[in-house]
Amino acid sequence: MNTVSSTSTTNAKSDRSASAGRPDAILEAQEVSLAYPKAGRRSPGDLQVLDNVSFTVRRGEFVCIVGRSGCGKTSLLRIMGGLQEATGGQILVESEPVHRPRRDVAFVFQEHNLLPWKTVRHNIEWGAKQLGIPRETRERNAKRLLEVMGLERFADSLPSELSGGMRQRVGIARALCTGANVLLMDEPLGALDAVTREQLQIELLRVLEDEGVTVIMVTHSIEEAITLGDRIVLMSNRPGRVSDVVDVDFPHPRAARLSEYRHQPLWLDARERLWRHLGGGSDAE
Amino acid sequence: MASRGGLFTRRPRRTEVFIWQVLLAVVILGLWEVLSRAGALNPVLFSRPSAIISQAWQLYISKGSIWSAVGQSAEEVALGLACSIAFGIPVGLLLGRVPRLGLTTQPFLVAILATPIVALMPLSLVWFGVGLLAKVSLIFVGSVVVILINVSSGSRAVPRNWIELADAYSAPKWREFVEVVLPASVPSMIVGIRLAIASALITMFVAEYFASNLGLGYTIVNSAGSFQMSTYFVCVLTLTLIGVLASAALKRLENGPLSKFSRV
Repeated sequence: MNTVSSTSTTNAKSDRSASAGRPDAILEAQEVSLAYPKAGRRSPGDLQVLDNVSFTVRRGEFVCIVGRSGCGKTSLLRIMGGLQEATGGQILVESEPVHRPRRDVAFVFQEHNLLPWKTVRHNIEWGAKQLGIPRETRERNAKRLLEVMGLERFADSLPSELSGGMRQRVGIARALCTGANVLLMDEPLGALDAVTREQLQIELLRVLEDEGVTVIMVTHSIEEAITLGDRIVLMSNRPGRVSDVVDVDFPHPRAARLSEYRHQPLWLDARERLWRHLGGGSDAE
Repeated sequence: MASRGGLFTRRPRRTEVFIWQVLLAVVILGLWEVLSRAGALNPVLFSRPSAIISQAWQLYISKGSIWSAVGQSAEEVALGLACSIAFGIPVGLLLGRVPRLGLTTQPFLVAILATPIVALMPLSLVWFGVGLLAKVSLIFVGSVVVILINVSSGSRAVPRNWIELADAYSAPKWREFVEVVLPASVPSMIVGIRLAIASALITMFVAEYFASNLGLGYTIVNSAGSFQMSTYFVCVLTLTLIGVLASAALKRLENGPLSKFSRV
């Protein structure tokens, strides 16, 4: 169901992507549909946002969902996070259907969404605190994450004193502090300038490779998706459907070898293929 | 003195503005004093700054006779405000966060806001007599409405993404309230309280004007009625000072310890 085909100029590491079956799946989207009734119109038919979206995410994998604005990728992520109900199909996390937010799945928001009256440290601990994680554990996690994210100097600052990139790091640290296995990221780097974005991508790779979490990230940047993703789910517009799944089998850790990676045929192929899908075809507005 | 940017665009330094302000006050007061002494302003009707200052000295320090009036008025305002804050903030939050309650009470709050509180004075007198209670209740009604309206709309307008954040991290409803709604509503509480103070001072004056034999409002009416203009001006300036001090204190709080609650 999941892999349409794959661009593989692959070297090693294919053991991870080879077993496309269910056993190592941590999250599965099964024929997820989302439709809103057309308000105030007599014409039949709903506004179809997502149509039969299915794919599988394996444990430890970094999956990027790429699509143009309005393809329903954020809605899909919200459904995965249990913030919204699908009108058809279901999301399974650890083989259980998702109807509300789960403790082992943490959300990273598009606009950092920090609480302005809390210090950086308390913002990082905030999610863990809501989940009832004991004080010592979350303080220990927060301390480590402050270090890892290079935020130590700002531990007692308020978000208003931070730059955009710093704020987004806090948002990511807040998600990691809960000890979640799965991170759902909604265009976390979308609001940043190009240089900060690039820096944060590298940092994200470094941190997430260490943390060993499964990440599903929505983005509209093709380069970002290839840089970060092990697999890229491409979505078409209106209604959102999975139009392609691209495997990018460049091994981790990638952070240190990024410039090498970007000259690989693998990178260029994937880029070419994604561009063709997103740019051309019947989806173009 | 003219630097680049000129008279119309350059923003002057704070010290410069302060100097101009002092200068303006000196000119007005000086003119008042001179015209009064020269006989151009009738001193019986206009008094003069020097007389007002010496009267203030008398009333506040050497005789101290104004303190009972100030105390009386302060008591009314403090009691009325304390009640409206203690009632207005929790109830305002409730109205803001329980849509049914908020929508139901909305038109009634607007109606009370639109009613001149002064018009309720006779009612208050009939119900409570000419005492502290009549005035405090009137001050309460006038000031609680602005707190209710501000706090309810402020807590209703807590940004959705913060509520969603609480949702995403499975915060129970009561935690969402304590961790998100309450702090996010602080700015609206401050605005409500500031307006409530202004309203309380006005209501206090009017209430004393109508029915009292004590307090600043009473003294103001009485002194003007008997051409004691210096006393009159001392009392009016006292009210001005109270209002200015209260709003400055609140501003300080808002820009200091509470500034982090303002949205970024």
